[in-house]
Amino acid sequence: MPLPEQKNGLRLREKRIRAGLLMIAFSSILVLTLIIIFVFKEGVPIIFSTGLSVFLFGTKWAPTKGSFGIFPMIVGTLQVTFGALLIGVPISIMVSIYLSEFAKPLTRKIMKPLIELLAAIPSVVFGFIGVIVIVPFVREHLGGTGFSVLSASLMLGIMILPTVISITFDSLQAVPQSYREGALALGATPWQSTIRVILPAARSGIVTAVILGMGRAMGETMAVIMVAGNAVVIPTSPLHPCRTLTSNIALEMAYAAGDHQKALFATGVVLFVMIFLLNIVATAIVKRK
Amino acid sequence: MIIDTLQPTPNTDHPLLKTEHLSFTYRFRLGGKVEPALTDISLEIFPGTVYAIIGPSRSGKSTFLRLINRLQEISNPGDMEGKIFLENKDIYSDDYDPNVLRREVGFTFDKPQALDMSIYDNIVFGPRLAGISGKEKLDELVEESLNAAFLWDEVKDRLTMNATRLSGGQKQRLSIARSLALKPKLLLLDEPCSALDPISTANIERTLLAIKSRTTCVLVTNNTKQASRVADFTAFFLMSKLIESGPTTKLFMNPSDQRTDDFISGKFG
Amino acid sequence: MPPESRNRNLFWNNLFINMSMLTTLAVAGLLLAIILYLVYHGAEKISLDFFLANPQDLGRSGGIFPILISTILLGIVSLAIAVPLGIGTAIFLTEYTKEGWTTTLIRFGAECLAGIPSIIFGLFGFGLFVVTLGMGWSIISGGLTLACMVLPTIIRTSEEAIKSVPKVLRDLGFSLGATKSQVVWQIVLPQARNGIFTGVILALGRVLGETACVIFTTGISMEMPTSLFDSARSMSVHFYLLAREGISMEMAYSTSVALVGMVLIINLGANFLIAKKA
Repeated sequence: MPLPEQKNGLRLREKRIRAGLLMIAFSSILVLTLIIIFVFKEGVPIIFSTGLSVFLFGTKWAPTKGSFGIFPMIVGTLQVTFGALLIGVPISIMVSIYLSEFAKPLTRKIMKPLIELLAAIPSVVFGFIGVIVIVPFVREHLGGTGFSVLSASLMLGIMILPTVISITFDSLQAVPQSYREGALALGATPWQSTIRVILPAARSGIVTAVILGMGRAMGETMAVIMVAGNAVVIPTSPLHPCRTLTSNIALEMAYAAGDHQKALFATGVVLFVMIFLLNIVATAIVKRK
Repeated sequence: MIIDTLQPTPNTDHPLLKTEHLSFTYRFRLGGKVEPALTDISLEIFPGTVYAIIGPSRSGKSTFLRLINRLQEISNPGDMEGKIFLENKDIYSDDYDPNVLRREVGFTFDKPQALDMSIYDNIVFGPRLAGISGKEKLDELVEESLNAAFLWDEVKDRLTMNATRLSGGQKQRLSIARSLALKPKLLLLDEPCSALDPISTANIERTLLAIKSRTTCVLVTNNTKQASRVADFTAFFLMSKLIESGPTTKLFMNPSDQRTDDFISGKFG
Repeated sequence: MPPESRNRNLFWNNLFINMSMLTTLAVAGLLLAIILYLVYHGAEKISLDFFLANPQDLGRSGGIFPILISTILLGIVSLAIAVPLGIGTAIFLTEYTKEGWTTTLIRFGAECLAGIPSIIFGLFGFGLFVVTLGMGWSIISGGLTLACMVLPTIIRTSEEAIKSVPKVLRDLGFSLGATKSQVVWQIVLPQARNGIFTGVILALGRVLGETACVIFTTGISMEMPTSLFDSARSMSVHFYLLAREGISMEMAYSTSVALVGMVLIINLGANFLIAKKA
């Protein structure tokens, strides 16, 4: 067949395309580097000028007067996050077990998209529901103002459900059928087979799900602002208000300037490092098993 | 009987395809000794014929085919020795553009596969890439190719239908038509009928016999009876080596090597 | 096994299974309750006027038209940037390299990005686009920042979609004389269309619901944007301000209904289209 002999031009074009795609592919690295540069550039100097231990463990946060201690916020973040996990993870596991092991196919088909829909709801809407429903409930039945660690944990717990459920569900589904049959053949009831055999087998996937849920909870900002009370205190009870690292940044960024603004970037640095470390620790736990 | 009608008379003295001491070994990253896929294959294929390659699985037949249209190096690179000549040109030389080669040498896979587009678009896919344009020209090409593959009558009224909706046998004929649209000199077929029912198989065999004068066919097949039905020449591969090759009638009735005889008579397979 | 302990085992078995079922129903019920609650309180104000009129009185009455437009613009800008970059990255990772340190590095970058909270993207966008590059609070600043945020999502889903294209199709393309880029563009990508589209929809959903990041990069102006360099307010930001500042609970409900409605329609629509194509 007679063909145009564009051989060299074609080869050059293909090389150019590959080079172009390579550059595009490095965009994610580029963005990550830029983020680290910009956030750290603004925030790190003030951490050290204040003093690392003063910044991290100091309890006085009066940025307009030059006091930058973010310990209350660190505590707030940790409490709210682990509260969310405490509430969200057991529920997610129960739901995942039911959907994966015991539900009828029709139920599964309806529930899965439903839960995915829950994931699509913007976080501010959850915050709104938190203010309208959860906060008054806590106030009337448990005391305090309602704006509390507990309210935030409840709300975040619900928000992380879709994430944790879907990954846990996938992990359970990935366990080979032979495991179930083997357990049942040894006389275990379906529930025992699930708890004693299937769940452990899906362990690494479940830990991944929890890690992701934890990341989501730690990073949530606006919804937490709406229900957590935002007082800069170290909460000694779940009914006390608290302020998280994320809320701290969002609340004050609008009017902060100079050192104050830098301190907020520094808060971002601490958050960044915390999430990074927690991820590494959790991944290491998964790898070891 | 079909075998009697096959009179192997090569058109010229010049082979269309020639391999010289062709060897190939896959490159594995796991280390350890790797057996070669092909060892010292030298054969000649003449234009206007159907050339069958038979042999048990893992003998290197598919690898051999994929080296001829340089498909092997894309996904499963390895170490190759020896040469392959198409019309006396070394297809692995730096001057020979692999894309050009793949238009001269068509390929049909074992699994019937259609591109997710209309039948018409399937056929003109290759020609369009080669720069052929113009509605009349393409229409003519489509009819010609589908006719050659004995598929025209069945689909001529529904050329815009998505080709994935065709049956397996129709898809395979479509694959052949798709390759034929580029008017290749050589058509390679890698066990084209392995997934087809007997009627579709007969259709494909009919096609090969009809096109061979214009497009030489190299057919890898696990089915020795098929080779005897359609091939002018046959080669027997066993564990990476070429054991014997020659006119099909001779190979089947009076093979020189005992192993050939054993394989054809079904003593192993 | 003695009958009594067998019965006891079955008792616990059934109890726990029922508990898990109830939990599941509760979660489903929760979702429906949220949606119904919002609709009940917010539906009355929803009308064509709501969408097409301008906000009055700081948002206490009127509609959300400019906000709607701003939201749509943000979505378009961020996707226009993130989708080509994301798909390009995915193509490179699957088609143009083998697994090695390059791919590990790129994937690591994408994974890290995926884990960064949106407020930090807000800080980043503010620092880089608003201040250093001088773009100010604008749709383009917000769009760029949001693009960075959803990039990992698009990379991940596109990669999965491209990987699921059968290998034979690529071989087929090559055997017809196509070059690598032709095989990718004319065969692989069309085949991966559905999966890629899902990823884009997911990203769009995130963009629409994002608040923290947007406030610090796009601002809170309620005016109709006349260019991409104007400050603007997205629906989720508007909703947040209404609710938090206590400006108008009614409008807050209505805005939330509109917001959730938009997100749900987009998600359901995408799922429906994909199911139809399959």
